[in-house]
Amino acid sequence: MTGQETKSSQISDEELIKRFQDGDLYAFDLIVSRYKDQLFNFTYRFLGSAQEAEDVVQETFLRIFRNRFAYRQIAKFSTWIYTIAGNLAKTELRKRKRRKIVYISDLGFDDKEYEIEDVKANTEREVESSLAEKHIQKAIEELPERFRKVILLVDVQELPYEEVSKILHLPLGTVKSRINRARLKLQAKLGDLMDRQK
Amino acid sequence: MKICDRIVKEAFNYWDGMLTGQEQEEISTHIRTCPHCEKRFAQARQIRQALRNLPKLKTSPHFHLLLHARMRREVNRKRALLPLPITGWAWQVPAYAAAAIILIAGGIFIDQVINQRAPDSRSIYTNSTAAETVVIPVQQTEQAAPSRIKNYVMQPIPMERLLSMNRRHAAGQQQQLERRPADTSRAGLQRPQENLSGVRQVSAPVQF
Ligand SMILES: [Zn+2]
Repeated sequence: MTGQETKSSQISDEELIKRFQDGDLYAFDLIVSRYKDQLFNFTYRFLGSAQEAEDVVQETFLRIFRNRFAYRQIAKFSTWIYTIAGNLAKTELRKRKRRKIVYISDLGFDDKEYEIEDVKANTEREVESSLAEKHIQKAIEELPERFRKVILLVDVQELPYEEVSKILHLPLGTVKSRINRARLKLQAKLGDLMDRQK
Repeated sequence: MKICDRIVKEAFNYWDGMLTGQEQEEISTHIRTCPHCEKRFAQARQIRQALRNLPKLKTSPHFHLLLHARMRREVNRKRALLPLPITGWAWQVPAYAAAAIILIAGGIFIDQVINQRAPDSRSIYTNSTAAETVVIPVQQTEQAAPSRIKNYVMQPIPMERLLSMNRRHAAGQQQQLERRPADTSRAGLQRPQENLSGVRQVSAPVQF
């Protein structure tokens, strides 16, 4: 890692967007590098299609590029970017419904271009061997949109409740009750499967 | 069973330590003694773990490249809406256009001044006895916008016809003629003629 990279990783998102607003395109590139994969994971889990997910992430960054001056330092940058990505993903989902395309959760990752990060096998991943990822993805996709988003933000992206509340424009209490209901729904879907696998 | 439902709902809050000490204690006691809740808790924990450990995907390798291309397109599209930068020879185009407009406008102004001073000596259609000017309605679009200036171009009129028209006018036959006693300065001036080379010229007043 170069000295510049070490230094750039210490710069806050808010500082980067400020620099970008001042015309520094390198700062924008750093933002892209910082967020592209996590946004891709979020939109992919939400949509279940890698191509659509990547399009949404591209469009998210284009919106940021286009509307850079709309961002005000009062809000956290991550909240802003997740709000944009979430809204675009929702729009994409509605477009798809209009097109009446049905996506069956096909997590074979036939598109080899989407690389899976090599997560080392360890005790933390012990569950995954017993619970196939494709079943989880299918169960997530079957959740109503409002539950899907909240479970992805809280349990997959592991964002704090306060931030999720801002992203979804919901009171904190609503986020908490919604995440509980989402988890129970997911558990109802996956419980039987887990029992059968035992 | 009612307590079981409530306890299962609180599983995540329990793990996250978001409950009061008393509630935490109540739950831990319950799951130790209720096999149903113990099982549900174990499931919930497994699901939470599975969600956290979902494989982390990366965008395609050409993500940056594609984004940069789209950003460039965005910038170019915006640039296309802006006026051309005044660099190199490009400044000459608007400069020549402005100069041409000034010359034409200046010519019209000077001509109007001259004609206001000598109204009866300006027009090809002047009736010398009545000292009034008669304008031939060449086209119906006389009041048209300047962008339609082609409609103003006069048709060449043969000399014999001009003479006969003048005679008719003098004889009071005004059916094809329009009287314009007040606005004497316009005819023949704001109607540019095209010469053979295609360059539009302001027609000079021809006098009888
Ligand atoms: Zn119980």
